[in-house]
Amino acid sequence: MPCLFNPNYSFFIEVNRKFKQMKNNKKQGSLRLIYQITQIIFWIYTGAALLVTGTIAGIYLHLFGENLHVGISIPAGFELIGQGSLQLSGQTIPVGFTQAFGNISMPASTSLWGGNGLFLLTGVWIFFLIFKFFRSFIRNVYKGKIFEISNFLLLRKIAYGLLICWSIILLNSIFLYFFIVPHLHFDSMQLSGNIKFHAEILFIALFLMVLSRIFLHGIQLEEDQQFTI
Amino acid sequence: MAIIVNLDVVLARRKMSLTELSSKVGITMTNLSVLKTGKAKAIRFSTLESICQILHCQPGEILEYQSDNQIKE
Repeated sequence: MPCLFNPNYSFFIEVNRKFKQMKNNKKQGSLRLIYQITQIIFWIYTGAALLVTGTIAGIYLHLFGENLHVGISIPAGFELIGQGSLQLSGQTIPVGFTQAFGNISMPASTSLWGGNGLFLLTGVWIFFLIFKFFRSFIRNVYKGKIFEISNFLLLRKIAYGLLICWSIILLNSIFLYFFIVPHLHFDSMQLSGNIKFHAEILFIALFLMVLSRIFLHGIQLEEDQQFTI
Repeated sequence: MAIIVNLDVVLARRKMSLTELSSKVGITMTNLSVLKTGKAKAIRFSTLESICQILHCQPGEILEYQSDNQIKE
């Protein structure tokens, strides 16, 4: 009769096998969820990108009529100077309104709108490419292809894409600071420009670059492991 | 690579086939082929021990160091 405490007893082997299978299934389940969410968001984004492209093409080709009034809404951050008060526990505390983020809206001529439309299209399709690379990366991981050269290349492409996006956003911010904000005049408030550095995008891009190097190292280690007899 | 694997030579001396060695050592034919053709990047002591045990030889008979100049010649 087999002893229950013997590790070679088939009961323990079976339990161990089931436990490993459960762990594997759990991992697969969470990966499947991430994969499916990425797929859904990717296709929604693709649809939205095509819609935006179609709309911009329609405006360029005057498909919506000649009398269409187009406007530009440029996102910008402002430093505002405003004084107020805060009533708290019977005390009046003076407060200052210092910073706000919003959009500068203006009616635009066709040429001005054209430039803005191209800028928008570039951003939309760069994000589309980043999303596409990310989807491919997730799909590879989901299929168990982790330490592969394609994953290293995909991560590097995502990092470069984010760096391009960061550069465009920074250039836009500099452009607004030097060329738009000094010429803005509002009766009700005083404005001063603010260059947004967007360090978080730069940080993610640099992190992905480091991660891609780690993947490359992992690929080399796996190759070494594969050719170890 | 400067390390030459002389497994085929030792196998020929022992008049043993790769398939036979594979079944006796318990290593797949694919891995033995990788080792024989010199594509292997590393060999475990346990594998080397098993091969030496079956072929009744020393590790030095299977592995040989040759400098790059010697290989070119």
